[in-house]
Amino acid sequence: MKTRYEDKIKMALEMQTGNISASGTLKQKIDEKIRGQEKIVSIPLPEKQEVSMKKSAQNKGHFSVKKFVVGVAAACLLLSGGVFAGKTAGYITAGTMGTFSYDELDKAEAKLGFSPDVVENFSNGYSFAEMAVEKTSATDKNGKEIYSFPELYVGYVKGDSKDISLFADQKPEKGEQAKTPDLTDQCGDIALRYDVYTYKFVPVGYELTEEDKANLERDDYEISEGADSVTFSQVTNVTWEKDGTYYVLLGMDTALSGEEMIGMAKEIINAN
Amino acid sequence: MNDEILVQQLKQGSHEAFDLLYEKYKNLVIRTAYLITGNQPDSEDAAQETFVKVYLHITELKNNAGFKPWMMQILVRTAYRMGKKKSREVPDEEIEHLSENKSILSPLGHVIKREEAEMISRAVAALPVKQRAVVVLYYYNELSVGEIAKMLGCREGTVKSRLHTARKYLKGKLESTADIREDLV
Repeated sequence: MKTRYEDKIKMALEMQTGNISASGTLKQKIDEKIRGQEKIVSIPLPEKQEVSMKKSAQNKGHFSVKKFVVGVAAACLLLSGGVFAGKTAGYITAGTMGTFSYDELDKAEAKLGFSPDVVENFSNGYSFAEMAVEKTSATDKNGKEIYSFPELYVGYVKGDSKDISLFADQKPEKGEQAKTPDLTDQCGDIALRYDVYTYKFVPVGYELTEEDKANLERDDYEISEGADSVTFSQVTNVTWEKDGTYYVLLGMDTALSGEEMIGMAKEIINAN
Repeated sequence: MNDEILVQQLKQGSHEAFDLLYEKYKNLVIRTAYLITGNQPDSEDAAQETFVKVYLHITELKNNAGFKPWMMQILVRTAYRMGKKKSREVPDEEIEHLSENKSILSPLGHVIKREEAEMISRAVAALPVKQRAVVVLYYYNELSVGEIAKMLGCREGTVKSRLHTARKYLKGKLESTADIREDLV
């Protein structure tokens, strides 16, 4: 039982905070910070009518290639799984649901709710480096979230070579991809496609040239805002679907050929 | 709408659910943060960090019904970290708003009550942050010793010990103020 002086403590604390309230800008700051930690990607949708440059004030001058890769993977998943009849215009990857060692794959699977095919090492020397389960959200053209799903990310490294990333999810949308694949192959009854995209990274506020506008009409070209300077990257990926799970094996500026990346994808499929 | 439904909607990516949870808890969060950090700028920062963490890590909350204690745990640990960096002295302007509080007491009673409350607030603010956090959670948030221990990640005995030390200090302060008042009368 609290004594009288203890009641006074409570009363004093209540008096002290009686006039304290959240400032009018607090919610705005919270929303901005959340957006700043989300990974934004715009998707080269075939039917897009307008420029879909990234709009994220928090990315100003702090472009993260890793965040971008994750976002691109989501975009590629969209392209490989397809959605275009629906409302989805892009994906944001917001928040990590956990990071795991390779030995903790079962824990990652518990977070995902499914068991994707994953390998620890590839025959070409790439080996496991990191793994995470990310919460990814599908958004409409206004950036409003429509639904979310867990997505697996696995990073592979090999000496000084560019990293390779594997993504897997079971998002509910399906559709068709307009872009013609750069390469196709089969692994049993599983169809594999290899695509090459060009990404132009530009600073916030960059004015599009006529050439940019023309390039944005292409299915394999995207302009991404938020970099310190104008740079280009080539994103290559192999996509496939197996047992309701969509996979993307993705590289940025990698020296690996399409055949080599398809070979790695087959190792993943055949490992399980 | 109750927390469980809102949390479930937030897990599914609803920003509206997040907005509703923010509206519901913003003042509790900012006030608790204020008492632990001892100043308004830090309490805003702690509240901001707390809500951002809530949004980004909501999928890690297993029991939706346990949202409030989970959120408060994030808050307390964040505010605690900020409070540790600060001086134990509380500037007068941080206590000033006490004077603006309205009361139905007589003018003299109001003055005495206000002075007493200001003294207690100063005394609480002067406590080491470990004791201050326990005092705030116990008296202001009315949490049990067990709940506080879970929130701070320490043993119940540790909470009891901090509470005991803080009470002793506060009681001493309160009594000395009463003595001074009697001397003046």
